This record gives sequence, structure tokens and C-alpha cells, in this order.
Amino acid sequence: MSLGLAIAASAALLYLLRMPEETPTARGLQVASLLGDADASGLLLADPSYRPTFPFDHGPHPDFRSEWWYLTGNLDGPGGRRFGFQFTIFRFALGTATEDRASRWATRQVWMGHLAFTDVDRKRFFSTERIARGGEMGLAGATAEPFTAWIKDWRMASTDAPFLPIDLTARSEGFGLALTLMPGPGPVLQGENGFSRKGPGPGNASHYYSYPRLPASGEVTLAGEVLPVTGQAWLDREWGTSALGPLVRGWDWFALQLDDGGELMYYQLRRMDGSADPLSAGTLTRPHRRLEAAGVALTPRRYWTSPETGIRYPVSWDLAIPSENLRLEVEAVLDAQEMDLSVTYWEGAVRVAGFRRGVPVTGRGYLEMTGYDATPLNP
Amino acid sequence: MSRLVVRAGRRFLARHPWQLALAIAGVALGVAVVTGVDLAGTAAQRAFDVSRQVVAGAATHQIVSPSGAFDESLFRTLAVDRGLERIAPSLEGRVVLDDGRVLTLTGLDPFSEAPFRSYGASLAEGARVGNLLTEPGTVVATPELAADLDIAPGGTLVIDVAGKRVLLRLVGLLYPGVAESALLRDYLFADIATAQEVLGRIGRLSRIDLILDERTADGLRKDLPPGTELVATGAQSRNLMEMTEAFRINLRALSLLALLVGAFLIYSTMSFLVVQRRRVIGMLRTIGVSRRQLFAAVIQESFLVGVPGTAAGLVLGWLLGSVLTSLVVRTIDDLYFRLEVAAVPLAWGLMFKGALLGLGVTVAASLAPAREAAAVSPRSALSRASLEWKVRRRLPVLVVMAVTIGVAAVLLLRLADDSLLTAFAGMFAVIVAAALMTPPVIAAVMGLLSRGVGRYLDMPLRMALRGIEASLSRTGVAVAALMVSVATVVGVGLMVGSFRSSVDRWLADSLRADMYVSLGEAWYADGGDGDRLTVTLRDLPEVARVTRSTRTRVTTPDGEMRLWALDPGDGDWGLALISGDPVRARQEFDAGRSVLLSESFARRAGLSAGDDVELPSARGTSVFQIAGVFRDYTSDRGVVALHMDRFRDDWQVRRIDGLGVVASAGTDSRGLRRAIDGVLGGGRGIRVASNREIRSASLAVFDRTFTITRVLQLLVGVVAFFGVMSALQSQQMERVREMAVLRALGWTPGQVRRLVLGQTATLGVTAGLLAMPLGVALAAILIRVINVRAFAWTMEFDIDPWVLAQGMGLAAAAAVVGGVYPAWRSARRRPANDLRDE
Repeated sequence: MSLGLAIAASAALLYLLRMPEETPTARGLQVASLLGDADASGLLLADPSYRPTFPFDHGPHPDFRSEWWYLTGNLDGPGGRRFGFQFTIFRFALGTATEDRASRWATRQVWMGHLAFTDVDRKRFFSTERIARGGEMGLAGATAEPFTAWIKDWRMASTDAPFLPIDLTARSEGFGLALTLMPGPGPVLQGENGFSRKGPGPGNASHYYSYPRLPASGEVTLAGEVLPVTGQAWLDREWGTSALGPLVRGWDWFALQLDDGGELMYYQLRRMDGSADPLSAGTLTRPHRRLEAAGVALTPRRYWTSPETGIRYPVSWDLAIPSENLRLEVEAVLDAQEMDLSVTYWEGAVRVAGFRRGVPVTGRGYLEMTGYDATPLNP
Repeated sequence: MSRLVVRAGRRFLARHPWQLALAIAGVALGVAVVTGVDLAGTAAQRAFDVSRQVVAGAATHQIVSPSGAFDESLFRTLAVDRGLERIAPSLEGRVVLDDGRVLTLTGLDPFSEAPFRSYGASLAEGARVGNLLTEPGTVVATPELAADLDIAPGGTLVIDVAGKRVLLRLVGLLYPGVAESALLRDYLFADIATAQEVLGRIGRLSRIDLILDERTADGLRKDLPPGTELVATGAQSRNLMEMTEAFRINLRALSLLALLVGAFLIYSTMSFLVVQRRRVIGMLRTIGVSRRQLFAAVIQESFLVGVPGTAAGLVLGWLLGSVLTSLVVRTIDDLYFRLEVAAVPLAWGLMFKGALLGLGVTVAASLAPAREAAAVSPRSALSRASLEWKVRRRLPVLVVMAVTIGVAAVLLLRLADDSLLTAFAGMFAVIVAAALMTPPVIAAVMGLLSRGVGRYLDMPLRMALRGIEASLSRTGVAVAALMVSVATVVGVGLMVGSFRSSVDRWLADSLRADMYVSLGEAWYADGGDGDRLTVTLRDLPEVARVTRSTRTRVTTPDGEMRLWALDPGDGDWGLALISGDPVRARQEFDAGRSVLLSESFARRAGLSAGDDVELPSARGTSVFQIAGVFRDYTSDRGVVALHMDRFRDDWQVRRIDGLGVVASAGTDSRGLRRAIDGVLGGGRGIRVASNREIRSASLAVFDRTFTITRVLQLLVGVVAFFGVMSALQSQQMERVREMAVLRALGWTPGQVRRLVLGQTATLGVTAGLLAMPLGVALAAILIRVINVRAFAWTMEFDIDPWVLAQGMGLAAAAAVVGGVYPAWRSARRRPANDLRDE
């Protein structure tokens, strides 16, 4: 036997897993089908009669196709420096229920972490991802009580109470986060009692709740420099086995924290022709209002073209809710906040300015945009 | 005026087309050999790089275990708790197909692989990627393997693991590069969970690949659990490199030797072309051609030979490279590791080097004669006598130079550093010194001969002897070139012969059993039990005793070496001790307290009997005293022999690779074989071979290994043959007029033939005789210095008279063939015409 091969070689099966990579989307809705598995038999569908219960639903839902713990936030550092961050842990279930297998590596759960950081003043943007398998090996996973979700050493975990406060740590080459999220308003159940419809078919929906304003403090590490930061984060939780409708090409998701104390979440499902799908929806807090497509007007004001991917994103928007007499200009704090990872999308910190009932209002938030490249989402 | 000079040169060459053609052929052969060897070396190097790439991927470090596998929980500790980002697990095991073919099943975690390796892949129709993860028993393979096994994606294959039949489903194909594909031909890939389940090794990993900086690596090394170790892949690659380095250096040296011989021949041809035209040069000088013009003209002329010769040489070299590459690769494959070469790349750099070399040597070879031609006064240039007189006057200078270089050579060879470079430098210095000594020796020998034996010879032969001495300017270089070529052929031949007989003797010493049984993967896969078989065989009435042995590789900080676990029973152990007390060594060895080192390991590690050696084992580290050093040619990386019982304790490996069966008194080998076959039945993966079969198979591998050496030896011989033939031939052609004078004086054609042939034959035999001591010296240097430094192998020096005879034959044949045409022509020509022409 030759030595060379005794310690030998191997194949990047990841290549296999990434084959139909031309389908870009975000929030991983499509990632499970990227893995080549559109078969939903044996997976659970979102149930309109279900009402989330806590702390149970903070934990994982392995029988649904996909799920995420989605954290975004705007932070202030020393000397008035501003930052934005995104830290998300996704879970996807492959295939249907597996037979009992002996290996602790065996699993149908695939976990993905996305980490991004925006250094507004110095116009720098970092993003990275990692993928790991679930299974008893414990390389990635989540638990409800006490709450933890981790992918290798990226981690969010309750410190003592059942859920909040949460410590999160994630680092990569060049930047890292170590934040504590204190209790804030919420959970806000999105849609109908947390049942959020995404497409026309039955079960084409997800369970969705948010903590829209969590006080955050801690430190960020930037190229070896450790900076104390404070700010506000937004946590979205969503799980389901849904697919987007056949006409939907992508979406624009807004999570805005206004300085009058209100929060606004709105996602626009965008059709092939650019029009908003009637299932686009959102929520306004203080007072709590559900938003529907007909009541929200979204108009792109300015575009930015990514030099890396050539994709053109609207990085500035007019958002109007006539019923609330609310008009906002939403503007990226930095144009270049594209996540060019195994899925390509734009996700970045935004600043907000406008009027509510004639009174000036400002704010901060996060904007996510998908489906802006040439390839149609559902060919 | 200068055009006149150039035209004179061209006319000369045009009027001597044979001479031109032979000169060109000499250059072409020299360039071809060097380029061919270089190309082969580069192709092998490239193949080596690819295999290294396939092996290690981008990993900088690997965690491995001396016992082969370790607990998987280490992976979680490193990836999650320690947060190492670029880390990938793998588990490997052998699986056996129905036809006995052994494949390696490699389990990987696809999500960890991205930073390390990336091969293109495609899936079977209808297969889903997730299947690899979620469906047990799914694998992927290269298209080559799928074709070998005649299954398409979606198909199933049945394998045998430890006697259990398992059904695997091929769900896709991998498309790595061509070279990788060939290397991965015996591999099946699966998800790591699948591999653990199929191989029945739940909870185990065989390797963790890492990309780390040195600081992290140092920190990690301290925290690893016992039984695992962190190895830098750089060090492993270096080991692979070092492993073949000696081999490649030897190859390069042979090519340089070929170049040296080629250069000698080119020099002899070119200088002859100039020397021959001294008269013309003298005439040109008398009509006012300046020295500078002459010098430039001669250099320019050398291009007439150099350019076509080099061009032809490059084409030939490329062809030769293809042939040599397969030989080089086969040798590396036989000796070191699996290597595949897709194609010989047309390396322009090497071609350029070859071109530069061909032209450079040609020009350089004409420089000295050109300068000499330009330097002499026109009058003395016209006089042949003045040239010969000058050459003879310079003989003492040559002797002084030769002695100086010879002394330098001895000093270089005696240098205590272990460098191969100084050894080669020393060897080349010996060659140069011998070449410089040639003209003085010829002068002396011919003088003695004509004074001593001369009077007993007839006129033509006497004149032949005197002629050689009188035309040293022409004969000296030719004989030196022939001598060097023949010596090279003889030296390499003696070295290979000595090596072969040493290996043969060593095989006879170490193969002490009558019959050998090797136990392969397939046999174990079918549920074979080595210990049980040992007992069964031992109980046969035909069997006196059974020895057991296992070989495994161990990676130490100093590099890789082989561990040879041996249980010789109470019989002769077949180890030829070079140092150490045999009786005590055997006692200590049997007790498991001591190990024996192979000569190469002892030399590399600087260890000797009485020292301690530390080896990484399943217990962490095992320390042994060294009881002795034994002769071994199985690995130039080194072998450590220890007792089977101690090996089993410390390495936790139960497998037995081979059994040696000694027949009881009165049982012949056929009876023994029948008895063994009766026990074994028709199992797979088991082979029985007699002592004699193993010995001849080993020698066959040896011969295959040295094929390339022999081919190069042959090439040097061919170059020498053509070069010398051409030199002697042109030299005799020059003397056609001289012969005409003799004919006019009344010599018969037969006498002229005797003169010409007598002269070339004497030159050939002289060269051959002079080549013998040099050839023996070269062999001694190759055996005593170069092989010891390169492979740490010592061997006995056998002087095979047949090799010497071949060398003499080569020299004489080249000389005689070189004389036949001129002899025939001189004898046939009409002297009146030749004389009138002048």
C-alpha cells in the first residue's frame, strides 16, 4: 500500500451540496431545496391554529424544513462610531425521517451560520458563513431550556433566565462579537398569532415571532482592536416548511426601530413583474397594527450595483403607510453590505428619517433584499 | 576579408559532409540525453506535486494516531470548544469487492471539506444530494472506478467488510483532475456517518485535517490526548520529497554524466575541426586576416554544428523524455508511493536550458582551439610540427593539473559532511583529472610501446604507434572522450552489479523460511484470524516452526519509517547484523526490551547499538534500547525491527501480514506447499510463495528499479560510440593525402589498411584500458560514497569481469568501426589523384 494514499485524499462533498448554486435567496427558505430535496413528505407544515408557547418554541423544531434565529442590530462605539451586525443561525432538515443510525454523525439536520459586521464610519463591511451538520456529535444545534443555539463556537445562549438575557459570541478572522442582549418588548407574534402566510397553498406559511428591540451591550473586535459598544438588536424567530408562491421572485424585508418608541416590520414579496404580492405583510407596534400589502407603498429611490456580483440593489427606499400618516425614507448606512456567501443577498444597517402624523421621526434598522439578480427565483 | 574567412570555413565543412554530420550527431545526442532526463524528472516532480496535493489537500497539519484510529470526541472538542475553524474529520478503511479487489472507503464530513479539497461532482439521475447524508450506504466514486466496476450512478455494489456483506449504492460521480482521478481510482467516498457504519467503526476517526498557524499548532500539540499526535503536513510532504530526493539526485547525476560525456565528444569534434584546418588558418593569416576575424569566424562556424545539432537534440530529447518518464514513474511507484503521470509536459524552460547547453558547449569547445589558432604566428600555424611540438611541451602542465584536480577530488570525497553534492563534485573531479591525464599517458605508453615492442612489428603497425604519439593534438582529446565514456559505462555497470549481488546475498540471508504466506485485506475481510492460522500451521507434521511478521508505518518527528514486528520463534531470525552482539541482541529482542535498526535508519538518525530510540505508539511514546543494526534494503527511509509480542502490547495492532513456514526435517518444498494449501483452502486475499519465488520476484523488482540506470548507461554508451567513431574517422580522413604518399612510395592497399586500422584499434584499446581503472574508481565512489550518502545503504563491491569486458568491447568496437571506412577509402583511392589535388 502506498504511503501517499494511506493518508489520502478525499472529495469535497460540499461541492455536491452546492451544485444548483444559481438559485440565490436569503433566509435560507430555499436552501433546503438547494440541498436537492424538495420533498416535504414527513415534514410538518405550519398550522394556522398553532399559537407559539414559550420557552418551548425558542428551541429547535427539527420536523420543519427550515428555521432560524435571526439577530440584527445597530451599535454605538466610542467616539460616536456606528456599527451594524447580523448574526443568524439557520437550520435545515434534509429528506424525511431517517431510520435509527448508529453513527453519532448521522443526521438530516444541516446548520448554517451567517455573520456580518458593518463599520459605518470607516465604510467597511465583513461577512462570513459556516455550515455544519447536526446530530449527536453536537457540532451545531439548539436547545429550548436553557436556550442555546450554536454552530461550532458561534453561540447564542441564555445566561440565567429561561430566555433573555442572552449572550452571543461569534468571531471570525478580522472581526468578532461578544454581546449581551437584555430583555425588551416582545415577543411580538407576526401575522395571525404568529402564523405568517408566505404563499397561496396550504401550509405555505411559517411560524414567526420577533423581539423588536433588545438592549445590547458588549464589545466588538475589529482587526485586533476591542471596542465597547451599546445599541439595540432585533431578534426574529421563524420556522416552517413553506415555499414561496410561483410568481414571487424575491423579497424586501424591513425591521425598523423608530426613536418615537415604535417598531415596524414589513416584508414585501416581490413578483416577477416587480409588483408587490398581495401576501406581503408586516406589523407596526405602539399601537400594534397588522400591515397588509394594500396599505403600504414602497418605492425604490436609489440603486447600487455590486462590483462583486453585478447585482443591482435598491439601497434607498420611500416607505409610506397612509393609514398611519407615516412616511419614511430608508437609506443604507453603507451601500456595500451585500452578503456574497453560499447564498447571495443584501442585508445591512439602514438609517430612517421621515414624519409620523406630521411629526419628524428618525430611527435605525435593518433591510434585507433578495431576488435582484438576473436568474429568476423559480425558473 | 572576414567574409572570405567565413566562406573558407563553410567550404571546408561542405567538402567534409560526413564530418559535419557526425559532429552534429554528437551534439544532438548529448543534448538529447540531458533534455530527456530533465523532462522525465520534471514530469515525475509534477506528478509528485499532484499526488501530494491530493493527499494533503490544503491541510497544514493532521492529527493521526499511531494505532490507526482515535475517538471522534476529539473533533468536537477542537471544532466547538476550541473553535478551530478549518478542521475536517475523516475515517478510512479497506473494503473488499467480490473479485478480491481492495478499495479504500473514505468517510468525510462534506460540511468541513470546503477549505481542504474540492473536486467537481455530478449526481446520478434522480439522486438527491441529501441522500449521501441521510441515506445509509451511499457512496460516490470517480468515473474511472465506476467504469472498472461496471456500475452506473444509481447502481449498487456489494462489498465485504470483516466477513460481512454490505450493499452500497453509488449515488454520484466525482470529477477531479486527470492526475487526481488516477490516484483516486481505488477510492470510494461516503459521508463520515456512512463510513463509520459500513466499516463498523462507530465513534472512531482515522484523521483530522487542519489548517493552522504554527502558534496555534504548538498550543494544540500540548493539549492532545495520549495516543494522538499532530503532524505538520509540510513535514510529511518533506518526507515524501526527501524520500525520492536521493533517487532524483542520482538521476540528475547520471544526466550530468551524460552531459559531461557529450561535452567531451563535442569538444573533441570541434577542436578537431579547428586543428585540422590550421594550415588554412595559417594561410588566411598570411594574407592579412586578423586574429580577431579568425576567432570570430571559428565561433561562427561552431554555430553551424551547434544549431542543427541542438535542434535535433531537443526533438530527440523530448521523445527520450517520454520513455524515461514512464521508467522514472514506475521506479517511484515500485519503491516509494503510487504516482501517475498523465503526459510529459513540454517544459519550455527545460528546452531552453537544453538549447543553451548544446550551443554553449559547442561554442565553448571551439573557443580553446580558436584562440590557439588565432594566437599562433602565421608561419608556425602552417607548420603541423610546431603544433604537435607545442602539445607535447604542454604535457607536463596537464600532469600537474590532473594531479591537482585529483587531490581536490580525494579531498572532496573524504569530506565528512553527508552532502551528495560534494560527493558528485568529487566524482566529476576524478573524471576530469583522469581525462587530463590521458594525453601524457598516451604519449608515455606509445613511446614505451614503439621502443619496446616496436621492433617486432611490421612497418605499418610501427608507423601506427608512432603516428599516435606524433599526432597527440588530434588523438589526445578523442582518446580522453572515449575513455571517459567507457569508464562511465563500466562504473555504473559495476555499481549496479555489486548492488544486485549484495541484495541477492541479503535475500538469501533474510529469507530463512521455506514458504511464505501473506495475509491480505480480503482474507481478513472474509473473517480470517492470523493467530489461529499460525497455530494450525504450526501443528502440521510437515512444519517445524512458523514465524510471524507485520509491517506498519510510523511517523516520528524525524520523518517516517517502517516498523517491522517480527516473531522469529526459536529459529534463526534472518537478520544480518552489522553491529551489536548477535547473542545478546537476540536475547534482548526476544524479551521485547530492545529493537534493531536498519542501517539506513541508524545512519539517518545518527543512532547506534546501545543508544535509546523513542517511537510514538498507542501508549504515547515507547522507548527502546537499540540492540544492534542490521542490513536491510527494503526501505531507504529506515526500518525498526521489534518483537511481535511487544509490538502488540504497545501498538494494539493484532493483524499479522505474513507468516514464514519452515519445513520439518524430511519434508520437501512440494510436500510443505501441499500441506499449507490443505489448511488454507481456496481463500481470497491469501498468497503462498516459496523462498525461491520471493527471491526472484524481489530481484525482478530490483532489476525494474535499475532499468532507468541501465537505459542511461546504454545511452552514454551510444553517445560515446558515435562520438568516438566520428572523431577517429575524421582524423583518419584527414590523412588521406598522407596515405597517398605512402601508396606512391609503394605501399600496398593492405599495408595502408593495416596502418589506419592499427592506429584506430590501438587508440580504442588504449582508451578502453585507461577506462578500466577509472571505471572501477567511479564504481567505488558510487558504492562507497554516493549510495551511502543517498540511501544509507552499504554494499559489497564486486568487480564483475564481464562488465569490464563489455567496456573494452565498446571501446574497441567504436575504434575499429571508426577506422573501417577511412581504411577502405585510403586503400582504394588513387594516390596520383590525391597528390595532384594538392
